[in-house]
This record gives sequence, C-alpha cells and structure tokens, in this order.
Amino acid sequence: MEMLVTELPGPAVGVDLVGRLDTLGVDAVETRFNAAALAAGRGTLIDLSRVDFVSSMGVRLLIMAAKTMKSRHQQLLLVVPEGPVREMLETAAIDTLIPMFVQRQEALAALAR
Amino acid sequence: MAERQSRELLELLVDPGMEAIERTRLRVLQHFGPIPGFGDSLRTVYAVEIVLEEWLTNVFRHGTGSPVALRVSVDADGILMRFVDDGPPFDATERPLPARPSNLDEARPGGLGLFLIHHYAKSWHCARQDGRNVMHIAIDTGRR
Repeated sequence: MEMLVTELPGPAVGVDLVGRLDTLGVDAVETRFNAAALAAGRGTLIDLSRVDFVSSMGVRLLIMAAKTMKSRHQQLLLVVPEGPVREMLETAAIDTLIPMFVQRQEALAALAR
Repeated sequence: MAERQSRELLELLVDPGMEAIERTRLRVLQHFGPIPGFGDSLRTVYAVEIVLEEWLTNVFRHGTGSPVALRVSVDADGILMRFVDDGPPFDATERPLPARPSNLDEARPGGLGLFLIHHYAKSWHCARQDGRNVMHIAIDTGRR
C-alpha cells in the first residue's frame, strides 16, 4: 500500500491511498496515515479511488480516524468511486458515518464549505 | 498433506501469518481466474478475497499456530471453500452479528470480519470433526 499526502485549501490535507487496504496494507501505512490524516486543526480528504480492496482492518482504520476527527470537530471526507470497494464500505455502513463522494471534485467542494 | 489441484479444485496448507494469507490469495486467484464467472466478476473476486482474509485472520488470531487446510472448488453451483483448523471449538454461525451503526458513537472499530463473510457468502456452515473446526463457505460466481 502506498500513501500520498497533498496540501489542500482550507487548510486541509489530502491523503491518497493506493493499493490494498487489508491487514498488510494497514500495517504498512497506519502510523504515517494517522500522522498525516489526523493533524490537528485541519480537515482531511481520504481518496480511495486507487484502492482496489478494503478489509475489516481497513474499515477499522477509517472508523478510528473518523472518531478522532469528530472529537476535534474537524471534517473527514472520503472519495470512493462506484465499484466493489464502495459496495463493501456501504455494507459496513461507513457511508452513514463518514461523508462519501464518488468524485474528488465533489469532495473538495464539500470540504470548502 | 500433499497439495492437489485440477482446473476446478485446489487444496493447500496455509501457514500462519499475513504474508502466507497474501500468498494464498494470489494462488487462488491465479488458479481460478480463467474460469468464467470467477476472474471476470469483480464482485466474485472481492468475495473470495474477503473470505480468505477475514476467516484465515480469525483462525490464526485465535488458533494454535498450526497451518489451516484449505480446499477451494468451483462448479456450476459456484465456489465452495473449506477451511480445517485444529483450534478451540468455534462456530461462527452461532455468533451474533454486529448491528449496523447509525452514527459514529455506535460504531465499533472491530468485529466486522464475520459480518463481512456472512454478507458475501451464499451460505456458510461450521462443524466440529475429529477435534477440528471445519468451515464451509459457499460463494456465487458471476455466471448467473
């Protein structure tokens, strides 16, 4: 699993994950993910457009991040295109916990509001 | 246990550990990928990968550290995966599945593995035979 961090207006941070968000993938990025995505005082957009698999460990990572961001009153948004990953996250009810957008532009617009 | 395989059958031993689970995933996809309704169905592949990751992780987390015997077969009815382990008695089908959270306060970070297997499986069945747990998980292929 690879992780790319970008600066977004807001201020906010974009975290693009690439690959598989399974146990091995989470182990590979969790520390850096938490440091980048959960930086105090910033909203976060997590882009899963190039993630082709999420397991329960990946869901765990997202839920933990969402809980932290909520406690700080900071935005956390997901970009998840239509497909098996989105279906899985909807099955796990992540769409009811974290705003999910099909396209990055929609998420960026929501982040700016 | 000697490994057996034909076009529609694969039997192998999975050693404990996430790297071994990953090797098993790749092996299963490589073996059955050419079969219509399997490799050409994103949802079928996802279902197989979820079952492998979640069930094997669960067994290795709670088991004795011994390898798991895996048998995967494909026919007109779909995919049948059989896992045999020598861990403590465990019947996943008797475990209550977590309720879908309606908000973040209700959400629990863990416990989703069995829920996901149940969602993606057409059926599942646990039995205890000769001191071992035998788990059968059936998955539809994309042929229908």
